[in-house]
Amino acid sequence: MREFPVFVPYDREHLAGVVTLPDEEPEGLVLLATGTGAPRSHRFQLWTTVARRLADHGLASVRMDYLGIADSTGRVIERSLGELELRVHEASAVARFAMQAVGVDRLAVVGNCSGGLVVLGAAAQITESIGALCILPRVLQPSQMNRMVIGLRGSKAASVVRSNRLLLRLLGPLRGRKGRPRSMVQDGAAAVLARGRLMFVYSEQDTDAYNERSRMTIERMLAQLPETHRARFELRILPEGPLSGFESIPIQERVIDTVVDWAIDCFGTTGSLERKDLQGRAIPAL
Amino acid sequence: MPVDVGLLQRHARYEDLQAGISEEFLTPALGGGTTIAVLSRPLREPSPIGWVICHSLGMEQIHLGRLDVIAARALSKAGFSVLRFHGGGYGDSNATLDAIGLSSHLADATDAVRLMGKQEGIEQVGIIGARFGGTVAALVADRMDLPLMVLWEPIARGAAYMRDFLRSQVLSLIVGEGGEGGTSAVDRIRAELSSKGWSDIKGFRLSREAHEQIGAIDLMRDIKTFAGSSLLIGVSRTDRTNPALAKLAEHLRGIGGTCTLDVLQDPFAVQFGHFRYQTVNGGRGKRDVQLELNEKIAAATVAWSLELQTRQTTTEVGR
Repeated sequence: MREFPVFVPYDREHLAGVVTLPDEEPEGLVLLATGTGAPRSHRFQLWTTVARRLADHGLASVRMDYLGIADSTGRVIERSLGELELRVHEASAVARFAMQAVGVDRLAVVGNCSGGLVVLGAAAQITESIGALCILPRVLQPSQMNRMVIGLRGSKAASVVRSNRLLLRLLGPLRGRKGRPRSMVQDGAAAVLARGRLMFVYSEQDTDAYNERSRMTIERMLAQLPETHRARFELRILPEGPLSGFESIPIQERVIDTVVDWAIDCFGTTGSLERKDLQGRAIPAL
Repeated sequence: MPVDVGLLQRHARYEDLQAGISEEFLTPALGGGTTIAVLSRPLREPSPIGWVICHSLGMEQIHLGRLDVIAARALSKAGFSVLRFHGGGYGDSNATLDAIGLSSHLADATDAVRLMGKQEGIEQVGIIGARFGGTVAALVADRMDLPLMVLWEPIARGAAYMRDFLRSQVLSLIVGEGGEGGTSAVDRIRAELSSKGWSDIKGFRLSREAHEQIGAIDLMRDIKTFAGSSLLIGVSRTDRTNPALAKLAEHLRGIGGTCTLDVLQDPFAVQFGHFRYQTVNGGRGKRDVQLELNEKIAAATVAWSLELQTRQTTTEVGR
């Protein structure tokens, strides 16, 4: 395995990234993108570990910093989710640079939270993409109620609720995004499924992103597509969670395995599906 | 098509003509493992003073990472060479999370100082760090007899820092799973550290050794001989100086160094070292609430470094 840190020219700025290459000729490239604020290696070296594991299976990867994040240049004080196209553009630029450098014509993309939507947009634009994996994509916009609750975060009222189990239970039904569907998800998913695979990953605890309303939205979205396209979609609900922030070691291990297994399957590469823990030790099969 | 290694290698460096700096990715061996570092340099003749920036512990490495980048670029724009790096177990380094501890942070920083000392035109190496990175910087400056150090809101006492570190896990369990809080919950984590040798603190693998070594740090006791120039920057919502920083400044002067203590006011000072994005517009956007504070810290560090350089030049001319 070899790694090359790079500054990818982007207009007047430079986007930082690391290209990981397998020892043999790569069979494809995987773009690894983060949500808001995380650097290219992701929290707890998650993408670094995934990149090296993919290299063990003959796949190259590129992990990247968005504009104004980590080692990329640029000054970004605020990013609106309505401006996700900007990040889609950045991710596409890095993916295209890496595909040229690595010399492959097949791309798969992986991202979490808002990064999941970013890679969905990038995969929809890049005709060489053969699949997208979105971890915790929010398919719904926040409703009026969601916006009110979000606005109260960090307030005294919020801390009172958090410290009271009864209040927490009573207010439970108010949790979870229940606004209008994001057109970006619908359009992106349709474009990706027209030529490749798409997987959404949530956990049982991610009720904010994955609830009855979002499940119905996904079903409606798929119902509009031809059956052959629908068959390429997979929804994976992980037992460990919540996935937001990857704040436990079992969650990190499960996410790494899920991403690596999916990418190997997506490219149809050979190589054993030996599982390893975060220290690189082999985990015996169940 | 074969891999275009030349294309990848050519993009390891860029020049920003407007800022007058270049940045280059390095892949050095630090602390016994290989990692990725960035060397920022002025495009003009560099100052003989080079700086090494030490990052903080655990998630603070990410939360404060952009401060390190902003400061590195600001210092380079002012004529200084600056090296920042991912320590073992962080970011793009080859080591995994279980390698992280006080020893790994110190070994990485020590090697980084040596690496900076070997750069062309560098005669003096200074060291910088925020919070736990500041603690590491101070310990390395003392052990390596460095002439300069800049500490941004350093952790003076490791015991309190580790207590808060463990409490963050307890708080997370209370919010997420309705778990129990209080000292008994912290004691349970301590028991786990003792029996299992490590504990999962919000996804960070904290080893017993790291917990014990960091918990034993007391900069008032551990900085014994530093006789160089130092800048301590505290961040606060008010103009009041953190008493622990004032004591540290006094200690540094007491052992023969010169120390400048500066307090920067900022409405988000209390979030220094924490997640720096705030959800705005009802979840429709995210705002980096630390960006302006980071720029203030970088500006204060540049101003002090330039003043120091002028003083050194004047002294040399005077001789």
